[in-house]
Amino acid sequence: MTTSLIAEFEALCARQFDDIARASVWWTGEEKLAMAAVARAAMTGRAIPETSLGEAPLEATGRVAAEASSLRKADIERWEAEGMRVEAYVELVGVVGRLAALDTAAFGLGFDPTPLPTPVAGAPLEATVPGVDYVDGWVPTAGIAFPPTAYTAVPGATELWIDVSSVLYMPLEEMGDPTFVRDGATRAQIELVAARTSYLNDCFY
Amino acid sequence: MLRASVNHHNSDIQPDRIVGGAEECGIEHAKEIFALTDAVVLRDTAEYPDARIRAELRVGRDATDRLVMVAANFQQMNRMMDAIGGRVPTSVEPLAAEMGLTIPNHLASTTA
Repeated sequence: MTTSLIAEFEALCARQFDDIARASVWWTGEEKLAMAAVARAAMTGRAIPETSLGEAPLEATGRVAAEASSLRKADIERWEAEGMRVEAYVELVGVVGRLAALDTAAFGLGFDPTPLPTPVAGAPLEATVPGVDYVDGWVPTAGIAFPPTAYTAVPGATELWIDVSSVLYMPLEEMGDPTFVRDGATRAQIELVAARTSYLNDCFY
Repeated sequence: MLRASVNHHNSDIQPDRIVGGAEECGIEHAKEIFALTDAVVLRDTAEYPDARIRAELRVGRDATDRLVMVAANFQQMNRMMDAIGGRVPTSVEPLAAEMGLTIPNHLASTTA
């Protein structure tokens, strides 16, 4: 791994874990770090650690981390009935998804998983986004539910996944370029990895 | 985009082999890339060192790192789309059929 790749990945981890340690829109830093710890355990088949998460976020974290393809709209509705707002679920998915990406990259690049930081005290903003609605998806989005809109019900959440995706995959502005090459990997090879990963995760998107 | 990028290089992709995973599928060094992807996504500590070396010998060290990072990114993307119930556009159905897959009803869309 070249020095620039190491620096880029380490900087990404620093930004992302700093976010996870802080209160955001619907969760405290302590709760997000608890999600990260639970997700790590679920993804690696280890025992789920003692946690302060409530039943709904605890179950949702484990399901998103380890068996996302088994999720259904009824699960989200049940968690809402138990008191977890759908926007909070969207933010939870973002935390777990980013953690999954960073830990997988660390494994593949030969690093230990980034140690979970100490939580930063603070209260969630509890801010909503006007105009989002259910459009061909199970959560409210700004327009049809697809990757660029997936987290639009939560202020700032889209920028966080784009940060990960831009460093690990490609910048959004390159998405339409079939000739894109990064670090010697061709677009076809990159998309082959994407397709195979999706197959392994039983994801059809 | 997989098909578009392959067509750009005047190659002929065989989508069904993405599911099979162990054979060449029309993309350069696919066999080694499949093995690398499987080992990193499944965190197979026994297979990963060998898969990584074989990939490095074929595509180089930097490209291997990049492909690992792409697999990691799709660990995020897959969870995101499965968790929000994003529907699979109907335009994807022919490719899914070529891969021998059927889009499940709960993800099927009427949107192209």
